[in-house]
Amino acid sequence: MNSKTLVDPAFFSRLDNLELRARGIVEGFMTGLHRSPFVGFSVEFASHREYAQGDDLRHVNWKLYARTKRLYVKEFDAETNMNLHLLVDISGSMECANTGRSKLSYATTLAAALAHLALKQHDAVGITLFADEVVAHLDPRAKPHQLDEILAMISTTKSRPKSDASRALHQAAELCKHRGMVVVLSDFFDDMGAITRGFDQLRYRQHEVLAFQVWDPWERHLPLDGNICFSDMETREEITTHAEGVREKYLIAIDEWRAELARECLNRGIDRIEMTTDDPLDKALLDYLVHRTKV
Amino acid sequence: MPNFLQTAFLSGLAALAVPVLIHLFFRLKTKRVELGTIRFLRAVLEENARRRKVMRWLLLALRMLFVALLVGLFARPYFTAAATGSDKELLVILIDQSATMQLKGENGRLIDQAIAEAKRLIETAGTQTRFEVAFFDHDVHPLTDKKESGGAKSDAVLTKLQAPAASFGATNFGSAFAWARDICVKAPAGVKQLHLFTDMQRSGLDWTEVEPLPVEVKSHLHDLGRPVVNNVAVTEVRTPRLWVRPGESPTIRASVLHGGTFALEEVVIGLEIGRVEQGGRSQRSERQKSEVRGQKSAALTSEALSSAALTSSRTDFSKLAERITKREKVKLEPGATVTLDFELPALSEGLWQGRVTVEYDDDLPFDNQRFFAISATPAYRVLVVTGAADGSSITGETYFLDAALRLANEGDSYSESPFAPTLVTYADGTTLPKLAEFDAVVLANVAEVAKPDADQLASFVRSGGGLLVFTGERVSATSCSTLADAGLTVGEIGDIKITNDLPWRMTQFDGKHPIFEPLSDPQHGDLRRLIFAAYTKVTPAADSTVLAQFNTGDAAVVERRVGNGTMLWVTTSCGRDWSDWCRSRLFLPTVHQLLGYEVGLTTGGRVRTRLVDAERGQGAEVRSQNGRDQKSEQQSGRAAESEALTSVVLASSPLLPGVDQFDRFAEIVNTAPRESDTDRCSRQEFEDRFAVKFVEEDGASVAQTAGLGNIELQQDELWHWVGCVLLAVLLLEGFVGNRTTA
Repeated sequence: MNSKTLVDPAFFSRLDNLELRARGIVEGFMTGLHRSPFVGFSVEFASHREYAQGDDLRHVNWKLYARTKRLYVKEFDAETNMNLHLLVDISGSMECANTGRSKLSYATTLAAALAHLALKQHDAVGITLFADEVVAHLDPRAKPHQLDEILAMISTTKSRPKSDASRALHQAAELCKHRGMVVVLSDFFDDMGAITRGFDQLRYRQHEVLAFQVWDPWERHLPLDGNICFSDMETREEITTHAEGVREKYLIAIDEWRAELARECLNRGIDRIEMTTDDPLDKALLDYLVHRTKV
Repeated sequence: MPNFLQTAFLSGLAALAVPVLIHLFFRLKTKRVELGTIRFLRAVLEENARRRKVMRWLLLALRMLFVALLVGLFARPYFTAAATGSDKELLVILIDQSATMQLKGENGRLIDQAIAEAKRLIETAGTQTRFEVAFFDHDVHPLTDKKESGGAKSDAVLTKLQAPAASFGATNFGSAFAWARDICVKAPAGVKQLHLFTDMQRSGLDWTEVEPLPVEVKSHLHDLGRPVVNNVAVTEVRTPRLWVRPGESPTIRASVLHGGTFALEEVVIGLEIGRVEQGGRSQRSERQKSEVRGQKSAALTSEALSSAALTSSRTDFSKLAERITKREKVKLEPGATVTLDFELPALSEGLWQGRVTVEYDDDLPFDNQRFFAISATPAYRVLVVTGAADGSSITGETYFLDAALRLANEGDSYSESPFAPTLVTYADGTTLPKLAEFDAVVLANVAEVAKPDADQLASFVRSGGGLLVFTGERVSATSCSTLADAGLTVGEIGDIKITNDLPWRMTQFDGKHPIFEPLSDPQHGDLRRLIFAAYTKVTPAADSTVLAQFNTGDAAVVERRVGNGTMLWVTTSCGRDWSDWCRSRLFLPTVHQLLGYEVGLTTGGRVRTRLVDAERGQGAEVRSQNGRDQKSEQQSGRAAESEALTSVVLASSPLLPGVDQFDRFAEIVNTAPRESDTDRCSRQEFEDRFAVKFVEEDGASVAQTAGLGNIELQQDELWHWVGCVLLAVLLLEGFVGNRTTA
């Protein structure tokens, strides 16, 4: 995978605007609600503003109150050292690219964008590539060159034919030692029990887990007609059938499986975001940012 | 096992491979798609994999069954099952009555021998046997009534079974076999036998394609022909033209065929021709003609017919005027055809009828003479009446019309032109000349016709004359009131329609009408290209026929019958005022067609020819002298009415050789030359041609087999059941197909 494809200048340019817009949304709607869970981290004074109901009394400038008899709170540049763990599935099924862009390409581009976004917010970002096991891992850091290392890892890594979500997520959970946010980018085409066991491992270590489920549009809607030979990208198994004859039941099976996955995620407090490879990446990032502000 | 009536359709069973090929083709033609996982698909397909497999095979079987049933439906299957309890039998007897059956055999004429054998067969048949008997030549003449389904009884058939005294028809085995086959197929039950009495003439083989007889029919051949026949025939008499000018000296060319085995020295070939007396022509009214035809029909089986036909009772050559007789002696080699030319002297005006005769006593006299006729008459005289004289001839109303009819420039003449126009100007104070001298009258932009002249015109048309009217600026409802009173208009005459922008075109015309048929092919001149700046709006009367229309929907050419004559109104001018039509290359042929229709040229002219097997002989090309089909002529326009009586008579009775004289034309009827060829085919050749196998037996055993009617075969066609099953299979296929996935 070419790292240039991961950092499309046009896209990253839009990403900066997206960040500002996301911040605006967060600050506009969540003023007074956002509080860093971490104590002792460096803060830098930015400005004053009038006290609003819900503001932390610790940030009230009492000296200024004494002089002006009005309550002002001190604002600081938000600098947190949240750890962002990006878990990218590189199993064979992620190579599915029926509409031009593979799921792996979509997921890695999304991961690169998330890393870029997080690093701009001074969060520490790490990445783990997994399939049937953890293939590569980079610990979270907030250093300026972390994005380059992440991109280099992504671009040099090849997909593996098999997947074992339980084992891989268990190994990844052990590698993500510091509590933080874990973003899993995968199609989750694995045994439901293995997936939930992997999620349990992550939740056990008190990570906030965000699951991006990436679909190929043909997998999601099966918009095909005629006699089709379907091939499994991991097992290489083939089935020949009339697509229009099985579409209805296929979609029912897909919906049932999605509903079960959604239920399992909900039980574990995991947010699940679905997207197809023809969805714009901006949408995924906006979902991430909304989730990020809750942390 | 079912039998099939249309066995050729069974070759369609090869189409059974089509569903299989389609099935295999779609299996091979699959698109490959990669998915992250197919476990969802597998889960769906594993639910009812066995059921789907069964459904797939069922669907394929249904589709193949559908094809097989469709083929079976066209092949018309039927079951023939033996059943006891009945002794009925059907005996189909076909007796050849073509001209060659007049040949003398050991016991009289072949036709008499056939009748005798057929009677013997009928008399010895079982009491419950039913009979279907028919004579055949180029057509089939059943003796049994159609309402007698299942055949007639022996006594009824024996009464009707009489040998015709004379016959002139050509042989066509195909039509006879088709008739017999239909009879056998429709017959509900019983043993079926076909007996064919014929002389095995080879010329009767190649005329029609017929389906073979049902397999259960036993066929018996009674070959009555003679191996050697000494026949000399006049097979063709050719005249240079059927219509010559008085004073011309035509040459008659006759072809004589010698079908015998030995050369003949100094055989006399005679030509006899004479002019029909004028009185004789007028005396032959339609009533008389119908009487003659009626006699022909009734006399088929009488002795009178033979003598009448052979001596040509319709044309009594001894009563012809200016008789000319010529004789030539020729040597005839076996199997060869000799051609002779008879130079005739200058013919005076009139209709000349003649015949060429072989003066030789051969075995078959029916083709020893051949008739012909020549019309030595001047061109049709046409009175062209113009509304007003014009100072400049080229801008005159009838300048182009006159030139087109004369086929010559102004001042010149052309002897071959069929029309001789006489131009008159109809202005105030003038009167029309006596119209009895003319065959047709053309009124070109004529108005204010005096009442005596209108009455004279009406009388002229009612007596059979033709009237062609071109409108113009003078023609209006008011100016044509006298013509309307005399019944010489074709409807209500309206205003003149003038266009200021796009010109009008004659977009629709009856391409099957004799006038427009030669012009209906755009390669012969497209009438739609003619443009008109003005025309007279005419609302046709109920008894008028619109033959052509402008693109506005208004009538352009209207026809109306008045008495024995016909009127044609062209609602635009024949001059240059309203269009440049008269200068186009279509003007001359159109005017000739219009006037030719009025005088009868487009329907065949004054002399028409046909063969005795023309009407009903399948595959025979029957053309009149001008190349038009007689049948279509008789169905169209004026010819339809004037020849209606003739058509009715012709349809109900066989044609006989001779010359029929009608009011406006003479019709020459001759025997078919192919019947003169007495070459015989072999039994094997006959069997191969019609896919029939004749039973090998002598006359006695034939009589015995005719009486063996103890087993009844139940024969039921199954096509309607096959159709029902086909429909059910079609519905089932749709039902299964909608519920089957691969």
